[in-house]
Amino acid sequence: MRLLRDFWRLILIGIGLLVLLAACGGVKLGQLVSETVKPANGDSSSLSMSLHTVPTVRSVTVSPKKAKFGNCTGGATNANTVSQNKALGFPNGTCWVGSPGDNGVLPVVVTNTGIAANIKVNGADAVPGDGGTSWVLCNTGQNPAVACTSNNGKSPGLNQYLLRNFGLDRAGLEGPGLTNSPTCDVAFRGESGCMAKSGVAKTEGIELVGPSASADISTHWHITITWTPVPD
Amino acid sequence: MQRRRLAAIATLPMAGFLLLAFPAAAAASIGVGIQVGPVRLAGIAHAGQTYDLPPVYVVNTGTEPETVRLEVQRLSRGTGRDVPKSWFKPGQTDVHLDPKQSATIPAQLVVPADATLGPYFSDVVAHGSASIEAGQATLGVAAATKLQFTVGKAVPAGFWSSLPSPLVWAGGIIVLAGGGFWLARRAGFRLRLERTPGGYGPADRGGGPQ
Repeated sequence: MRLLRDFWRLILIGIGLLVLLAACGGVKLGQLVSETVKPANGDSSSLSMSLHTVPTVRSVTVSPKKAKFGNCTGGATNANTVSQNKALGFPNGTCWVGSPGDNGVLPVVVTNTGIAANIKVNGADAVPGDGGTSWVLCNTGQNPAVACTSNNGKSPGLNQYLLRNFGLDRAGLEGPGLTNSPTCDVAFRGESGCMAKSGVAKTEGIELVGPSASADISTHWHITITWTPVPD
Repeated sequence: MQRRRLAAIATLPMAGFLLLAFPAAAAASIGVGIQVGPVRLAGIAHAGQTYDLPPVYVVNTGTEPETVRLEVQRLSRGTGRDVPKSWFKPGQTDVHLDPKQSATIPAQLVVPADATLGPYFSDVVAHGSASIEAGQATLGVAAATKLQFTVGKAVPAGFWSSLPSPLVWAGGIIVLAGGGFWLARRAGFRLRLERTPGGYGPADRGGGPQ
């Protein structure tokens, strides 16, 4: 009997503890603390300061001075598809923005206006004015992203074209050509890839080699070249 | 003869005025910038969930107005799976920016239910729509920053909330103990506690000092 009484005492103590715990949970202790640490009016003082940091933007700016595809050569005289000065001929006519060589002209200026970054460049499909069949980019050399299919892989085939950007010393003209994905810009190529410090600018030109033949008869084609600063 | 001279004299200031009035045309440039800091998800992503990514800062660094749009593409070096393009949802598809103007574009990460667990890595690329016609070629710009997050094991919804609180646990234990004690008594079990008178150890047994 005495044991039972002791047990019920224990139960009652347990219930009492539970009630106490529940009561404590209802009080917002955090609120109490924050109220006690709040300084009284007139006690606080502050010092306003401003801080400048270096720019933390990755950016690129492109500005052609005078840029036009011109000096077009190649094509078939017999078929009356030879290139004219500003019009690409077939098969495999070549047009230039600027000109390579010692006395060459490099009209496109690419400037890294942000922090140090890899300057990459890519092309895109050539889109005809009538919205018909596009020309896709192709590449020459050992490991082409898309192999050119004419002249043993040295020239673009049907509905293909080759786009190369070049810098001083004809850099890039021996390369495989641009792809749809950004690759290192040959004009910025150095010891550490195509890394360019802030403010570094390079002048460039562009070479375009047209297809062996085009399925689309459009005489106006839209071509895009994009420069992108990429983190290391 | 005099007329020609007059025409030549009038032409010079006009040419000068045109050069001064339209200097931007001669030095027109296109440019776009993006924040250097990577776009990272604060915690672990779970399959089937959608998360708000930190907004992405973009700026028009050129002299022409442009429209900026964000997309995901893997350009830089890093470890992790490629982020599928469909997972990245910018809050605004096209943001118009005047020269030197900047904006922050909100973005969401939509992880599908069948997403593979592990780290993901790609780049957020800001494409500037402004372009300069160079003959038949259009020159464009873009800028990239890293995108990183990890997809982890999903915890069932409401798992923690379904567990009883410590208070319920304590109450349950007391009730169970009470019930057990009552049953033991009913079954005839007795727990006898005895107290023996306390001593002072072996030294006390023999009495006081000799």
